[in-house]
Amino acid sequence: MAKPNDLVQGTLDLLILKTISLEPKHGWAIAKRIQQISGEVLQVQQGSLYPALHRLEQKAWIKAKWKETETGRQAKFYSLTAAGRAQLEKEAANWGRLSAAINLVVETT
Amino acid sequence: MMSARRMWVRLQTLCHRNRSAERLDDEIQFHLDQQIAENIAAGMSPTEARYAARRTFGNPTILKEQTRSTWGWTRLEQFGQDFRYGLRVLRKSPGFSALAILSLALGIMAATAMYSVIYGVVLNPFPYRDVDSLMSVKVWSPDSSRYRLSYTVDQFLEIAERNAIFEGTIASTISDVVWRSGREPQRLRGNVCTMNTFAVMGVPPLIGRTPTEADASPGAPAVAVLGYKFWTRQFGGDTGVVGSSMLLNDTVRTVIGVMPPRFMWRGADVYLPIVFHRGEFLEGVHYVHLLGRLKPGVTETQAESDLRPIMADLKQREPAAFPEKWRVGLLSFRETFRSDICEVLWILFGAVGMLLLIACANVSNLLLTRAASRQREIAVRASLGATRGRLLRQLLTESALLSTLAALIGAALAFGALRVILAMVPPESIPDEAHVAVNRPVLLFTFGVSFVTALLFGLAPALHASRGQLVTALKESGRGIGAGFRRVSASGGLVVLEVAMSLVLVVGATLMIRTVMAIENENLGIRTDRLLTIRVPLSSQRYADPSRRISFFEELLRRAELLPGVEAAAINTGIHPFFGGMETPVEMPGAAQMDTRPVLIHEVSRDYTKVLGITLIKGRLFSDSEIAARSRLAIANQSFVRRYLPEGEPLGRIVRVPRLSSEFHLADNAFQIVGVVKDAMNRGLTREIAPELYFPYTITGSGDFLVVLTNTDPAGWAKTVAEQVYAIDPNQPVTDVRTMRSRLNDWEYSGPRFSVVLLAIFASLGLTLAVVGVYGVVSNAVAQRTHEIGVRKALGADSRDVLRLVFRFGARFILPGIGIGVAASLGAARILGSQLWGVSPHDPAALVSVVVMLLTVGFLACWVPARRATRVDPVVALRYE
Repeated sequence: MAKPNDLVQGTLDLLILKTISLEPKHGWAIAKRIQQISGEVLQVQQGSLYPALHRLEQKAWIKAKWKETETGRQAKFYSLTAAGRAQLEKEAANWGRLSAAINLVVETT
Repeated sequence: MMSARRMWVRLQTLCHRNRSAERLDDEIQFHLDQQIAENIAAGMSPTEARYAARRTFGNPTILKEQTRSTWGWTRLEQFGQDFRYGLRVLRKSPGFSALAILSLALGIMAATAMYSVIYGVVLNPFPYRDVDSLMSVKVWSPDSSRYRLSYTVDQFLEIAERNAIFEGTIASTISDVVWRSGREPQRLRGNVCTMNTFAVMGVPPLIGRTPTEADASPGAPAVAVLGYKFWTRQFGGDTGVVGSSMLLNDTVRTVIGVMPPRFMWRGADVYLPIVFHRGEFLEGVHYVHLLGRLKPGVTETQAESDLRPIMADLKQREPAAFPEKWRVGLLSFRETFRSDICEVLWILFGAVGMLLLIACANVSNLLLTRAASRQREIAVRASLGATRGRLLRQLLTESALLSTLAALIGAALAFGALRVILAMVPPESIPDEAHVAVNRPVLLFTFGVSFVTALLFGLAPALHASRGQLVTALKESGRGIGAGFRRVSASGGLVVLEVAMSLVLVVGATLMIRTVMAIENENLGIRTDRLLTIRVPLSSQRYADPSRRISFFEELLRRAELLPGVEAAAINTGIHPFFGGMETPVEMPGAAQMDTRPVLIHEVSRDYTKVLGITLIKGRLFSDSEIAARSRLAIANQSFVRRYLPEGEPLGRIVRVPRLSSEFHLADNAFQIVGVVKDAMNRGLTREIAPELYFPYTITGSGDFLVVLTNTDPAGWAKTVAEQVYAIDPNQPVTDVRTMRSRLNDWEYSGPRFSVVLLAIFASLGLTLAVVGVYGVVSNAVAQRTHEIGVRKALGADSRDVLRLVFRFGARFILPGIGIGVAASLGAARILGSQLWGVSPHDPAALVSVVVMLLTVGFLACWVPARRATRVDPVVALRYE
């Protein structure tokens, strides 16, 4: 079955981990944040966030808590666990190496 | 490895799946609401805002499924769904479910019960440590099928001391032991054995201890160890018995221990551990069985070359002890104490396997039939996106559910079935140690079987049903002109198999029935009614002298004959038709060469032939004075005359019995034949009558069977006759007080009856299932072809044509089934051959009658649906469209 988004799975994981590394966020906020920061370049199909979030939760990299938002509604807030923080560092480093390498290849040719 | 935290998260999701699912809905709804709110804030109309939110989000249903699948319990959830759905399906068609479960349960019951017996008797009968390294030593002659495993005490000691191949060597016996306590003396089954017996067998006692070095030291007090069955029977399992004394064979012995339930070495009630010495016959033991525990790594060749010089020395010392040409080797424990019914058990197990296959084929068929009615359901599932694998899993879950339920019921029924089987097992045909029960290994087997059967009967229908032909299936509104032809051929194949296998089973049962009839109709040559037999095993210590034994029996005969209900009484060494006395070659003076084939020797009192009803055809019987004078006279049977004196007058001829000189030290071993009697069965009912000679019982005095001809029911006289023994010697026990009829039942009829009853049960179950199978397929075909039949009738076919149509359809699998079955049973009969007697394995009468029977029941099974087909009203059938 085709993946509903164009992002590589590992990349989406990295984006999620990074986005919630500062403070806990709910799913919609995560989607918004990714869109905003990337200057609307990364168009994540919003729904596809949820399988990824739940998968990360099963891996115990992130944990979730139901809390009230400013508007008074209940929402599920995700935050990083210690393991998730370690994973974020690892994946960020990987990404750095990979993008640097691709840059190198692209620029020299 | 999964971290603890991850494990915890997963377990939480498992336990809170339903709640999580709700919360997932909430979570997604919240997301959508946020987006809608944002869209409205951006100036969209509410409706537009909702659509836009949906668009950016994607398909919530699919996303929810994807999310749920990240929880990782999809397989289990699906299994749960399949399981619940399967239960609903079973409940929805109770008739189908009951039939399927019942057929399987019957098969599984039979398989479980038979496997219990196989496991207990063949696979795991002995409780001893590492049974495979326990070996008997056998000596045999290359020109004989007989071998010996017993040795004199001196020979045993020689082998035990000189061999280098055994870690430990033990002697054992089956001895008559007289236990005196209270009024009536009891005869116990004793095992006079070496002190190391329990250590070598490797079984600790249940309570108390087993003999130690100290017990073997000279002057140590005599000890005894009790067998579990005897202990519970006689002492009610009282642990206080350890430390008490018993008077056994006139020796006071201290009971030091009780062995656990399955330790039944030589089936003993009581073990008398002693130290054997050369030249001594302690406890009356002359011969012992030798068993050794082989040292690790010793090969058979090494063992042979180690034992050969020892045996050669023994042979040199006692030339008569071993045959002229002899060989020595090992015989494994399992072979030595092999159950007589091993072969029968495997045959019955094979029969059960066939029964189970028939049951599987039947259920498979039912499932195929049902798959027809579920075609639309399955097509709908497939069109909604179920993959073939997913459908297969669902259908197989249903099969597994069926077989598990059947296994539960079958296992429960097996407890009862096993009791029925055990009640029929011929006496003394299974090792004493064997414990036959539905236990854990058996139940494991049962569930293994149910798993395999689920695959067997479930796979074909599942593959068939899940084969996607969506469009046809959905279009076809269950009307089905020409539908199911393919299916019919699939289930037709199964029915052919069922018919064939049930035919094999029925042929087997029929051959066994003919065997039993042949055995039971056998002319024994003796009377079997009004006979009471008693064995009086005179103790070899107190009756060491033959003359004391003879006068004991003289007195016993006198007393027995005086009893009012007794017509005549007699003594013999063993009783027709079983025997069990001496078998030895004899010499005819003047014969060209010695005939080494054995002759049976009976030592009888005056009236033996009269009591048994054996007719004298020539000459005369012994007189009282001749018996008293120990005259060297003989009576021969017809077989003897045929073999040794084919021409000329047998009366007056002389026959020599060398063994009487070597073993009983008789100076004069020449007997003159004074009479010839008719042949009577003398080696059991299934072996040819052997040549035999009758001598006066006073010759060696070793006869200890008393047989009494009563004028009423012999069983009623048992106590009175036994009391005559106590009147002569209050310390003399009696054993085997039995009527001839019950002896025949136990020793001759019960074996074949055991196989015949079980085979007949399995065969009739198999046949019933096969008939149900034929009926099912034919009636299903008729139901499916109602339309076709209607058209035919409308076009002018009459009832006869319709009947012919249906019967021809039935014949399509009954006939090939019978054909294959006949061929298979010709092959199978060879396996059964060893159990047959008086009937050929290819007995045409049996084959023909079974074929006729199968044809009859097969077509009867077609007849019911055929009748239904003739009643099809063309108008209704056509309007039905």
